[in-house]
Amino acid sequence: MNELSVYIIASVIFLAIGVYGIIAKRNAIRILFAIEIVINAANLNIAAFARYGSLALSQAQAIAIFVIGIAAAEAAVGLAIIIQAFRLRGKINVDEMNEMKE
Amino acid sequence: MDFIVPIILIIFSSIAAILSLESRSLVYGAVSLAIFFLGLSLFFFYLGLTYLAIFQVAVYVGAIAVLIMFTVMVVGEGQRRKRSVPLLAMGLLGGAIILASFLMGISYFFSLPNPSMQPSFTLVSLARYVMDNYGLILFILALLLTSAAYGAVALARREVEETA
Amino acid sequence: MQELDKDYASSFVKYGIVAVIILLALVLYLIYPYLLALLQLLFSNPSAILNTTLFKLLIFPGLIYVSIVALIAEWVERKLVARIQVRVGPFYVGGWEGLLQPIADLFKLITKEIIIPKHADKNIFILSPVLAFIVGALPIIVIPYSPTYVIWDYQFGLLLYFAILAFYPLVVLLAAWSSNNKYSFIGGLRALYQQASYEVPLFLAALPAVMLAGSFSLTAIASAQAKVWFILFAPLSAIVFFAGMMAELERIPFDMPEADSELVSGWTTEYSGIAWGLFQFGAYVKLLAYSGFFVTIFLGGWQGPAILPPLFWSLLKVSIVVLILLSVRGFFPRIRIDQLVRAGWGRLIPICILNIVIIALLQPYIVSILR
Repeated sequence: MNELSVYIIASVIFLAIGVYGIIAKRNAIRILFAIEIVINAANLNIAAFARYGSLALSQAQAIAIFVIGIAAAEAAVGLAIIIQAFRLRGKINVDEMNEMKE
Repeated sequence: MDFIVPIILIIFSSIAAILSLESRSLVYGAVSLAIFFLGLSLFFFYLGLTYLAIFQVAVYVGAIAVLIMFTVMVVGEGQRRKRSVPLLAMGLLGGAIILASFLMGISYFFSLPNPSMQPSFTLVSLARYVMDNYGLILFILALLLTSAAYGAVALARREVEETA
Repeated sequence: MQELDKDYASSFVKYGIVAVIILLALVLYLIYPYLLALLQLLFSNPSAILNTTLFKLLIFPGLIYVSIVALIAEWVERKLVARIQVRVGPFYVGGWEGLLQPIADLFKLITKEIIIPKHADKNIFILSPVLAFIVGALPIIVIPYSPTYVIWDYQFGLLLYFAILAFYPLVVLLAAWSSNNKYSFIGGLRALYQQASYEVPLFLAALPAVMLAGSFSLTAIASAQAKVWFILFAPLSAIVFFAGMMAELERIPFDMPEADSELVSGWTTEYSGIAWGLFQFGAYVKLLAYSGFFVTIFLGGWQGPAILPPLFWSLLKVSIVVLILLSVRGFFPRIRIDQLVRAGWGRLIPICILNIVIIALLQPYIVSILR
């Protein structure tokens, strides 16, 4: 078990936690938490390859910065949708929001 | 036992991640999500990517966690529903499948050669690298973030009723 | 019921004393080698203790120095603002002109009861003043008062400052929400808007200094101002940084979240006793930390004529900046929240960008002047 695999296992554990959250949670905000966990798992993977693999430090940090930026944009828009859905329907339970018309 | 620091960080971060999904109150979930981001930042510090660690704290904890907490406080706690066992089982099954399938292929990483010496890293070299290779993409990312902010504000504002 | 409370209190005190003694013994056992080395250093070479990190962290420029200066700053503010407003200020406590007033306030706050509202979230309610103090005091570990008096000469010191700055709206939001009070939550949201809007101008205003010094490290930025201070090359950025500092510290004229005549005490309304005291204390510690950053980035840090030691110059400059920040309180009225937000996003950011463009165009010439 070399050092690289420890970080890959870490990244996979976070990915599994995130996937569990996306499948098993009904509150839309919890699903957003899980999505952020998955994105951070991907960033950790890139960082691990920067240190123990053959990815340059500059390259890895550039990739990770772009990923964080895109995650910020997606979180903002997702939260805006959740706020508006809550305002229109009164609840944010993804099981019950399955019709376009209220 | 020379992996003690990564293993402690893994345990800390996964407890924070599980708490953020499973805690009873959404606000505690948002707080533990912020702690998870901090744990990730400690990971980056330990791996030697100091700029990325500070960037993660500044953007994720400073902006995204604040945004999430603000939404959670405005939307309020949802109604307590009975825990649905089929959903929980499907979730655990999905997570277990992901974990198992990745761990099966992990023996590949044992055979990778040791990494070569890294060139010295300064912020100037990172800036030069980004501007040389990803300059246009940086510009597009800036436009994307601006339009995302604009779109989020436009989505979330109250529609002003036109009364005749 | 009284006897029950007395028995409970006395047994609590007994067990508490025993627990504290055991804890102290454990801590001493763990740090014994370091303590021994420190004592040896003290007895063999007394002045070398001034260079150890522990001294720097705890005494100067660390915790004790910052606490004492925060208390003095509170007294100075009250006297200064009082004289500006043609009144006297505290004059009763202490021998001369109410000097011991802050200490009297401290004792009063420590002995007051911390009232936790009925449906407030107890954990977050108790946690947020502590977190506010920690987050406000954390930037002092990178501020250089002289080439040797910096607790941690971090390569990305300025970035660390920005990251910690981005933390504070989270703390404000937690504190406001856990009070379970609509109006303090509104005050907390206003504080959030204000502090989040002025983060970006602060970041942009500190950029010309980084461009001219070539590094994010604060000692490098201060060392690069040996000949000319950066405020001469980036005056607009200095003004924007000053305004952003005042907005982040919630000082008048950016006092909207704590509008005394409207929202009682803003987002700290429900906090009483030492919890509120920690918020105020943390605000003064933050004041000192941010003034230190202003001095380091724009006013040259420790640079000054070599007659007096560099430590003297940096302390002098920090004191002047703190005095200006404290006295502005007496001069200006409060800015409305919409004017505030519009100014933060719409007016200060173009000024910063203008200054960055000027510095970017003139950078080769300026750097040749500085070398």
